[in-house]
Parts: sequence; structure tokens; C-alpha cells
Amino acid sequence: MRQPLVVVYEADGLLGLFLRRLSKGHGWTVREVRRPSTCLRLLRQGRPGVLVLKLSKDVATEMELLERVSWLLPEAATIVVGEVEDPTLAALAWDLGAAYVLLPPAPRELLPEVVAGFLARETSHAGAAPTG
Amino acid sequence: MADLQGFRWQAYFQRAEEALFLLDRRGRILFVNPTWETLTGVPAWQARGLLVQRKKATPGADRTQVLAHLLYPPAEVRKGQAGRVRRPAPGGGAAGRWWDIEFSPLADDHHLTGVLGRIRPVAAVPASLPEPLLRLRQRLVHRFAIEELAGRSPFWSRVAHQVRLAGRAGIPVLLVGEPGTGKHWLARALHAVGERREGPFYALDCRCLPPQALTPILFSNSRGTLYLRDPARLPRDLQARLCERLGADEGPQVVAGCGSDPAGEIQSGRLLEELYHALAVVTISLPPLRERTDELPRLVEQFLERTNEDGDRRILGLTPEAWEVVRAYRWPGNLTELLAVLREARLRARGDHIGFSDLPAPLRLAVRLAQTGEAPPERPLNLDRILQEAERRLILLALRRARGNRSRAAEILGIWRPRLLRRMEALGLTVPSGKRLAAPGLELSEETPPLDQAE
Repeated sequence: MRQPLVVVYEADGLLGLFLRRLSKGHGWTVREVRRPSTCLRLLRQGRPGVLVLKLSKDVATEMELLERVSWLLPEAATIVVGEVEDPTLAALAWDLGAAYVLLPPAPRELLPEVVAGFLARETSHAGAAPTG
Repeated sequence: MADLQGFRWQAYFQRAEEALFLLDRRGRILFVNPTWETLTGVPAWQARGLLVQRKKATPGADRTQVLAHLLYPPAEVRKGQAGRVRRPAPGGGAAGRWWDIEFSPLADDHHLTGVLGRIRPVAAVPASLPEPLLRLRQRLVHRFAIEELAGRSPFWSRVAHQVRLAGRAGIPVLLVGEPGTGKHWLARALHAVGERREGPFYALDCRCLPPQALTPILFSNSRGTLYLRDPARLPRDLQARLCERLGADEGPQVVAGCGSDPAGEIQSGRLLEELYHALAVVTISLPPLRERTDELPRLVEQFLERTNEDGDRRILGLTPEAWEVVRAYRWPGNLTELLAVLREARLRARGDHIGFSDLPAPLRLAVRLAQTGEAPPERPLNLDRILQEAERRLILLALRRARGNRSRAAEILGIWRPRLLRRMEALGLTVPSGKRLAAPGLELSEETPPLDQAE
């Protein structure tokens, strides 16, 4: 079975760098993307996958991507990460189907454990789904 | 309508501050009050006689046609129960204006005689969100509408009724069913009709999230709805704390989803019995897909519509051969598996229908195996004959390489020459003395049948 996949959607690459360093100890594959269509294509592959979505100034595109992933690919967990405290945006992210929302005051240090937890779930269920 | 005529209802309703309307038993508007006229922008003379419609108005339709759809009572109301819906106000959904519409059936001893409706405008969406985000929110409204369930069957009508009651009361609900049976969807539908729908919908997967991530949401003071997937996976101390919290009736409304054997979870010690009882104020059991095969056409249509959103071409349906497989398969993964299979098959389909060969191989195989009758008796395998034939071929190969020289052939086979001669005699292999066998590649005189056909 292929390595579990972490897709990182962000504007500046910092989160991807962080997760890439972590992935060495966990056996994940980390792919950083800049376009929603690429993100969807990667998550459609059928391997265990998690999307880490970092909010930036283009919130509308990011939230649209969250909505599309949670509706079209419900088995992929989306973790929304941000640096600015915004309860309204956090509530919308939950409503649109985020598996977890890490906006302040939630500590960013939780991210590795949250990602690992969802990948472990995906990996344990991957054998149950029919594959072509 | 004798009961209505006997009461000075018109004078009463005319002065009401809420927007009120009255339908007759056929769904025609009999009366609207001035507040209704102001809210809808439609004068009473134009509204009277308008027939409410189940069918959604086409884009560009005039305001009365839009209203005719908005005021259509949901299924439970048509069957004599009170009901409430939230629908986007005409021209107002994207901007965050919604209508809560309450329907109260009016009946004599035997029949529905009319429906009284009340419209309450609500700002369902926080005004601080920009327009594109408000539109995203709007997509959710129709996606999790409980009215979709009511009217399908007596079972689903009861489920819809339970969901409405539990949503309005804000009490804990336990959803029981195999993975993939729609518990998450039902929790969202409950949130959409519940008293706490103004708050967010949190979905926490207790199998995946660490306690430090769960705690802030589990014990928040939010007014929304919290869906807990598999609460038996919570640490026991969190289960105990949650139990106390539920008893105090604080925070979000809790809806929990668990597998089809909660008693087993309690017995094994994974789920605290106190928490189970605290969650199961209302329990709704969802059947597996294999028990809902009559719904397959509708589900397949809905899921194909969903997967069509993710592509540039439309898949219209399944071929009859593909339908045979879909109906025969047991769907251990239930609705989740059905969606995944259709999504995968859609990518393979060449035309506008999913065919038999587009379905995943394990699914086709599973159905074939299930449909196969008694297996034919297996052919017996004679080990001695197979071993003899293999020995014969090896000896012939060695002789060919040694060009008939038996001493050399014995060396190739790693045995003594006398043993080779004994085995050749036992197997009926003879090579005339001095005769050299042909070079490799030319056929030997004896026919060599395949091993599995050796007699």
C-alpha cells in the first residue's frame, strides 16, 4: 500500500516545510499544492489522505475548497489551520465540514497529532474499501 | 371549514404582528394578513387563490410562483402534524435572510381542513461574513433538509419526526447503525431544524482526535450542535466529564453516533454505561443499505448528481448489467461505500452510463461468488503421476543437453549413472546405444503432454 498522503494547501510554503520534516518520522508523503483542482485530483487517488488547509487572504477560495472536499470526498479529513483568531470564520469552517479547526487560541502544536490521528484512521480503513 | 367560519379569526389575524397565512385543504391560499403582505411584497388580492406547489419555481419566475413553493407544507404537516421549515427568503438567501415557517394543521375529526402558517424572518447567517462565504453557507441548507426523509416511508417519516422533536428540544440523541449508514447526515439534518442551528455544527471523530483537541469543543459554551463519532473511543475520564455535562444541560446539543452494538461496547468496558444512558434520551437506529434496496434507485441518482459536480461530463445512470451487480452486492460499507464506488466507476465510464466493467473488480467478483451455485467437483490430483511426469521431463532434458550421453546426463542431474539407467527403465525411456539425440530445440520422439493432463 502506498504511503498515506498529506496534501498541504497554503500560500507561503512554511506549513509544508514543517510537515515535510515531520513526515520523515511518520512515513507520510507530503504534497504541497497551490491550486484547488490539483488538491482535489490528489485526494481522489483513493489512498489514505488528509488535507491541511491554511487560511490566508484568499479565504473565499480556501473555504470553497473545504466545502468541495467535504462534500465530494467525505472520506478525506480536512484540517483547517490559521494564524488569526476569528470565531466567525472558525464556525463557518466547522459548518462546511472541517474535521478539525486549529485557529487561535487552539495551540498549533496539536497539528502533528491531529494529522497522525486522521491518517491512522484512513490507513486502517483502506483495506475495507473496494478498489478497482 | 365550519370551524373556521364560526370564529372571528379574520379580525384576530388581521391585527397580528406576525405574518400569517391560511391554506385550504387543497393548498389554496384563503387568507393573508397585512404583515404577510408587507413581508412578501405581494398584495392580498393577488395571493388569494394561489395554489402552493411542491415543485420549485424555475429561475426567473415571478414572485408569486416563488412564494407558492416556499409556502408548500412539508410531508408531516400534510399528514396532520405540526411542522417547521427554514427556507431562503425570496431573493434573500445569499444575503442571509431566511424564513422560519411554522405550519399548524387544522382538522375536524377525520380530515385535514386547512393549514395555518406563520412566517418569521431570521438572519440565519452572521452579517460579518462576506457575500461569497454566505453563498457557501447557503449550499448547506438544501443539502441536509429533513423534509427529504419524511414521506419516503412510514419508517423514515417517524425518523424525521423524531429528529424534529429532538432538535427543537435540544436533547441528546444517540444514532445507532453500522459505519456508513448516514448517521453524520442525520446529525446535520437535526442541526438544521434544531433550536441551536444558529451556532456551528461540530463533528468530532473520537477515534482520531487526541484528548487535548477534543476537550475545548466537548466542554465549550457554544450554542451549536456537537456530533460525536464513536464516543466509546473517548478516554474514560472524558466520558465521565461529558456525562456530567450532559446532565447539566449546558453547551451544544450532543448527537452521538455509534456502531450497531452499544450494549457490546458497554459490556467490554469501552463505553461507560452512564454516558450511554445520558446520550440515549432519544435513540434512532439506521438500517444498513442491504435492508434498503428499494431506495437504491434514489440513492444512486443522488450520489451520481453529487459526483457529477466533480467532473466536466454528466453520468446519467447505470446500465442494466451494472444495476444487477449493484442490487446483488451486500454493501458492507453502506452509503459511504456506494458513493466511493460510483465515484470510482464514473472515472472509468466512457459514455454517459456506468457499465458492468466500470464497477470495481472486487465488487463484481463478490457478486459473482455469491451468485455461483454449488461449485463443480474438483479434479483429483494424482501426485505420483505428476512427480513421475516431472522426472521424465527432467531426464529427457538432461539427455538432450548431453546429446544422448547417459553418463553426462547423470552428471547434469547430479545422480549416479546406474540410478539414471534404473529410472529410465522404470519410466519407459530408452535411447538406443550410441545414438546421439538431436540438438536442443528439435522435438523428441515421445509426445510430452502438459503436467496437468498427465494420465
